[in-house]
Amino acid sequence: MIQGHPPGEMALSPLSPRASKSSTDPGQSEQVRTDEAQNSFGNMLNEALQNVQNHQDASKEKTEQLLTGEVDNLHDVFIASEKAGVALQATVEVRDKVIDAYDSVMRMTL
Amino acid sequence: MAMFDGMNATASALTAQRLRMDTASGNMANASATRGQMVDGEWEPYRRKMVTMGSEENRPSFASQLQNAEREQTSGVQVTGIVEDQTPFQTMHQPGHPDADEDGNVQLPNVDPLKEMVDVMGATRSYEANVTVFDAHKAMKMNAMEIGRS
Repeated sequence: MIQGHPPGEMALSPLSPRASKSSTDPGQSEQVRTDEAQNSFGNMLNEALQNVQNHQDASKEKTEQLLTGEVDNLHDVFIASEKAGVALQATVEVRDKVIDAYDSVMRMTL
Repeated sequence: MAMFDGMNATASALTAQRLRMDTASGNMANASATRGQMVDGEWEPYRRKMVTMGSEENRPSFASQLQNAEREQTSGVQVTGIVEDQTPFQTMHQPGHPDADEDGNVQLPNVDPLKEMVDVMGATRSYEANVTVFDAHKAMKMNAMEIGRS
Protein backbone atom coordinates (compact mmCIF):
# COMPACT_ATOMS: atom_id res chain seq x y z
CA MET A 1 0.00 0.00 0.00
CA ILE A 2 1.41 3.33 -0.97
CA GLN A 3 0.64 6.27 1.16
CA GLY A 4 1.09 9.96 0.95
CA HIS A 5 -0.10 10.89 -2.50
CA PRO A 6 -3.44 12.55 -3.12
CA PRO A 7 -6.27 10.79 -4.94
CA GLY A 8 -6.69 13.29 -7.78
CA GLU A 9 -3.40 13.05 -9.53
CA MET A 10 -3.57 14.11 -13.14
CA ALA A 11 -2.94 17.76 -12.54
CA LEU A 12 -3.87 19.05 -15.95
CA SER A 13 -6.88 16.81 -16.54
CA PRO A 14 -9.44 19.64 -16.10
CA LEU A 15 -8.13 20.99 -19.38
CA SER A 16 -9.46 18.22 -21.58
CA PRO A 17 -13.20 18.38 -20.81
CA ARG A 18 -13.14 22.14 -21.09
CA ALA A 19 -11.35 22.06 -24.41
CA SER A 20 -13.77 19.52 -25.84
CA LYS A 21 -16.77 21.49 -24.61
CA SER A 22 -15.68 24.72 -26.27
CA SER A 23 -14.99 22.93 -29.54
CA THR A 24 -18.47 21.36 -29.67
CA ASP A 25 -20.51 24.53 -29.16
CA PRO A 26 -18.57 27.63 -30.18
CA GLY A 27 -21.51 29.95 -29.50
CA GLN A 28 -21.39 29.14 -25.81
CA SER A 29 -17.72 29.88 -25.38
CA GLU A 30 -18.03 33.40 -26.84
CA GLN A 31 -20.35 34.33 -24.02
CA VAL A 32 -17.76 33.52 -21.36
CA ARG A 33 -16.70 36.80 -19.85
CA THR A 34 -13.06 37.70 -19.63
CA ASP A 35 -12.91 37.79 -15.86
CA GLU A 36 -14.58 34.38 -15.70
CA ALA A 37 -12.08 32.95 -18.12
CA GLN A 38 -9.21 34.46 -16.17
CA ASN A 39 -10.69 33.13 -12.97
CA SER A 40 -11.04 29.58 -14.27
CA PHE A 41 -7.56 29.64 -15.78
CA GLY A 42 -6.19 30.91 -12.48
CA ASN A 43 -8.01 28.16 -10.62
CA MET A 44 -6.66 25.52 -12.94
CA LEU A 45 -3.13 26.79 -12.55
CA ASN A 46 -3.58 26.91 -8.82
CA GLU A 47 -4.83 23.35 -8.71
CA ALA A 48 -1.93 22.16 -10.82
CA LEU A 49 0.59 23.91 -8.62
CA GLN A 50 -1.11 22.59 -5.50
CA ASN A 51 -0.78 19.11 -6.93
CA VAL A 52 2.95 19.55 -7.46
CA GLN A 53 3.18 20.90 -3.92
CA ASN A 54 1.36 17.81 -2.63
CA HIS A 55 3.91 15.57 -4.31
CA GLN A 56 6.73 17.58 -2.81
CA ASP A 57 5.15 17.35 0.64
CA ALA A 58 4.66 13.60 0.29
CA SER A 59 8.30 13.20 -0.71
CA LYS A 60 9.47 15.34 2.22
CA GLU A 61 7.35 13.36 4.62
CA LYS A 62 8.75 10.06 3.33
CA THR A 63 12.31 11.36 3.59
CA GLU A 64 11.70 12.46 7.18
CA GLN A 65 10.27 9.04 7.97
CA LEU A 66 13.38 7.46 6.46
CA LEU A 67 15.64 9.63 8.60
CA THR A 68 13.70 8.85 11.77
CA GLY A 69 13.58 5.15 10.92
CA GLU A 70 9.79 4.93 10.62
CA VAL A 71 9.68 3.80 7.02
CA ASP A 72 9.00 0.14 6.14
CA ASN A 73 9.52 0.32 2.41
CA LEU A 74 12.65 2.00 1.13
CA HIS A 75 11.34 2.06 -2.43
CA ASP A 76 8.35 4.17 -1.37
CA VAL A 77 10.76 6.94 -0.36
CA PHE A 78 12.50 6.94 -3.71
CA ILE A 79 9.28 6.60 -5.67
CA ALA A 80 7.78 9.59 -3.85
CA SER A 81 10.91 11.60 -4.55
CA GLU A 82 10.90 10.62 -8.24
CA LYS A 83 7.23 11.55 -8.56
CA ALA A 84 7.91 14.91 -6.99
CA GLY A 85 10.87 15.38 -9.33
CA VAL A 86 8.86 14.55 -12.45
CA ALA A 87 5.99 16.82 -11.39
CA LEU A 88 8.35 19.70 -10.66
CA GLN A 89 10.18 19.21 -13.95
CA ALA A 90 6.86 19.31 -15.81
CA THR A 91 5.97 22.54 -14.01
CA VAL A 92 9.30 24.09 -14.94
CA GLU A 93 8.80 23.09 -18.58
CA VAL A 94 5.35 24.67 -18.65
CA ARG A 95 6.70 27.84 -17.03
CA ASP A 96 9.48 28.04 -19.63
CA LYS A 97 6.92 27.74 -22.42
CA VAL A 98 4.79 30.51 -20.90
CA ILE A 99 7.80 32.80 -20.46
CA ASP A 100 8.83 32.06 -24.07
CA ALA A 101 5.39 33.04 -25.30
CA TYR A 102 5.47 36.22 -23.21
CA ASP A 103 8.91 37.12 -24.58
CA SER A 104 7.66 36.59 -28.13
CA VAL A 105 4.76 38.95 -27.51
CA MET A 106 7.02 41.58 -25.95
CA ARG A 107 9.41 41.41 -28.90
CA MET A 108 6.56 42.10 -31.29
CA THR A 109 7.29 45.20 -33.38
CA LEU A 110 4.55 47.78 -33.49
CA MET B 1 -5.62 7.21 -16.54
CA ALA B 2 -3.80 9.40 -14.10
CA MET B 3 -0.27 10.50 -14.63
CA PHE B 4 1.31 8.32 -11.97
CA ASP B 5 -0.90 5.20 -12.16
CA GLY B 6 1.83 3.14 -13.77
CA MET B 7 4.32 4.18 -11.14
CA ASN B 8 1.83 3.29 -8.41
CA ALA B 9 1.32 -0.17 -9.91
CA THR B 10 5.08 -0.67 -9.91
CA ALA B 11 5.28 0.49 -6.31
CA SER B 12 2.68 -2.06 -5.27
CA ALA B 13 4.66 -4.79 -7.01
CA LEU B 14 7.83 -3.75 -5.20
CA THR B 15 6.02 -3.88 -1.87
CA ALA B 16 4.58 -7.32 -2.67
CA GLN B 17 7.96 -8.72 -3.73
CA ARG B 18 9.54 -7.40 -0.57
CA LEU B 19 6.97 -9.20 1.51
CA ARG B 20 7.63 -12.37 -0.47
CA MET B 21 11.33 -11.96 0.30
CA ASP B 22 10.57 -11.43 3.99
CA THR B 23 8.44 -14.57 4.05
CA ALA B 24 11.19 -16.62 2.42
CA SER B 25 13.68 -15.24 4.95
CA GLY B 26 11.38 -16.24 7.80
CA ASN B 27 11.02 -19.75 6.37
CA MET B 28 14.75 -20.13 5.92
CA ALA B 29 15.47 -18.85 9.42
CA ASN B 30 12.97 -21.30 10.90
CA ALA B 31 14.11 -24.23 8.77
CA SER B 32 14.94 -26.27 11.87
CA ALA B 33 12.59 -24.74 14.44
CA THR B 34 10.91 -27.65 16.16
CA ARG B 35 8.80 -25.36 18.31
CA GLY B 36 6.78 -23.25 15.91
CA GLN B 37 3.45 -23.14 17.67
CA MET B 38 1.71 -24.74 20.60
CA VAL B 39 -1.15 -27.05 19.56
CA ASP B 40 -3.17 -28.75 22.35
CA GLY B 41 -0.36 -28.30 24.82
CA GLU B 42 2.25 -29.83 22.53
CA TRP B 43 4.83 -28.12 20.40
CA GLU B 44 4.42 -28.41 16.65
CA PRO B 45 7.24 -27.57 14.25
CA TYR B 46 7.22 -24.38 12.22
CA ARG B 47 5.03 -24.52 9.12
CA ARG B 48 6.30 -23.05 5.89
CA LYS B 49 4.50 -19.83 4.94
CA MET B 50 3.62 -18.76 1.43
CA VAL B 51 2.48 -15.43 0.02
CA THR B 52 -0.55 -15.32 -2.25
CA MET B 53 -1.01 -12.35 -4.54
CA GLY B 54 -3.97 -10.93 -6.38
CA SER B 55 -4.73 -8.01 -8.63
CA GLU B 56 -5.79 -4.84 -6.87
CA GLU B 57 -8.58 -4.62 -9.42
CA ASN B 58 -10.51 -7.36 -7.68
CA ARG B 59 -10.52 -5.83 -4.26
CA PRO B 60 -13.96 -6.44 -2.82
CA SER B 61 -14.34 -2.95 -1.37
CA PHE B 62 -17.13 -0.78 -2.73
CA ALA B 63 -14.81 2.18 -3.25
CA SER B 64 -12.41 0.24 -5.46
CA GLN B 65 -15.20 -1.29 -7.54
CA LEU B 66 -16.67 2.16 -8.08
CA GLN B 67 -13.30 3.51 -9.07
CA ASN B 68 -12.89 0.69 -11.58
CA ALA B 69 -16.29 1.37 -13.05
CA GLU B 70 -15.65 5.09 -13.29
CA ARG B 71 -12.41 5.10 -15.16
CA GLU B 72 -9.92 2.92 -16.85
CA GLN B 73 -7.20 2.22 -14.40
CA THR B 74 -4.07 0.19 -14.36
CA SER B 75 -4.21 -1.89 -11.26
CA GLY B 76 -1.32 -2.91 -9.12
CA VAL B 77 -0.83 -6.12 -7.25
CA GLN B 78 -1.57 -6.79 -3.64
CA VAL B 79 -0.80 -9.56 -1.23
CA THR B 80 -4.07 -11.33 -0.56
CA GLY B 81 -2.74 -13.40 2.28
CA ILE B 82 0.01 -15.40 3.87
CA VAL B 83 -0.99 -19.06 3.97
CA GLU B 84 0.64 -22.03 5.62
CA ASP B 85 1.98 -24.87 3.53
CA GLN B 86 0.02 -27.99 4.54
CA THR B 87 2.55 -30.55 3.30
CA PRO B 88 3.55 -33.02 6.06
CA PHE B 89 6.47 -32.35 8.37
CA GLN B 90 9.78 -34.08 7.92
CA THR B 91 10.80 -36.57 10.58
CA MET B 92 14.26 -37.39 11.76
CA HIS B 93 15.45 -40.02 14.22
CA GLN B 94 17.14 -38.14 17.04
CA PRO B 95 16.41 -39.79 20.43
CA GLY B 96 18.33 -37.24 22.48
CA HIS B 97 16.25 -34.31 21.24
CA PRO B 98 13.91 -32.79 23.86
CA ASP B 99 11.05 -32.73 21.32
CA ALA B 100 11.46 -36.37 20.25
CA ASP B 101 8.49 -38.74 20.64
CA GLU B 102 8.58 -42.17 22.33
CA ASP B 103 10.27 -43.76 19.30
CA GLY B 104 12.95 -41.08 19.24
CA ASN B 105 11.62 -39.35 16.11
CA VAL B 106 11.64 -35.58 15.90
CA GLN B 107 9.29 -33.69 13.60
CA LEU B 108 11.03 -30.96 11.64
CA PRO B 109 9.48 -28.10 9.67
CA ASN B 110 8.26 -28.67 6.10
CA VAL B 111 10.74 -26.11 4.85
CA ASP B 112 12.93 -27.04 1.91
CA PRO B 113 15.92 -24.67 1.75
CA LEU B 114 16.19 -25.25 -2.00
CA LYS B 115 12.63 -24.07 -2.57
CA GLU B 116 13.27 -21.07 -0.39
CA MET B 117 16.36 -20.12 -2.36
CA VAL B 118 14.36 -20.33 -5.59
CA ASP B 119 11.74 -18.09 -4.02
CA VAL B 120 14.41 -15.62 -2.91
CA MET B 121 15.86 -15.52 -6.43
CA GLY B 122 12.41 -15.09 -7.92
CA ALA B 123 11.60 -12.22 -5.61
CA THR B 124 14.94 -10.52 -6.29
CA ARG B 125 14.59 -10.79 -10.06
CA SER B 126 11.01 -9.65 -9.98
CA TYR B 127 11.99 -6.64 -7.86
CA GLU B 128 14.73 -5.80 -10.35
CA ALA B 129 12.32 -6.10 -13.26
CA ASN B 130 9.86 -3.76 -11.61
CA VAL B 131 12.57 -1.20 -10.86
CA THR B 132 13.47 -1.33 -14.56
CA VAL B 133 9.84 -0.72 -15.44
CA PHE B 134 9.77 2.26 -13.09
CA ASP B 135 12.87 3.74 -14.70
CA ALA B 136 11.32 3.25 -18.12
CA HIS B 137 8.25 5.14 -16.89
CA LYS B 138 10.38 8.01 -15.73
CA ALA B 139 12.40 8.05 -18.95
CA MET B 140 9.16 8.17 -20.96
CA LYS B 141 7.86 11.15 -19.00
CA MET B 142 11.18 12.93 -19.35
CA ASN B 143 11.09 12.23 -23.10
CA ALA B 144 7.62 13.74 -23.31
CA MET B 145 9.04 16.96 -21.90
CA GLU B 146 11.60 17.03 -24.67
CA ILE B 147 8.85 17.45 -27.26
CA GLY B 148 9.21 20.70 -29.10
CA ARG B 149 12.63 21.55 -27.81
CA SER B 150 15.32 22.40 -30.34
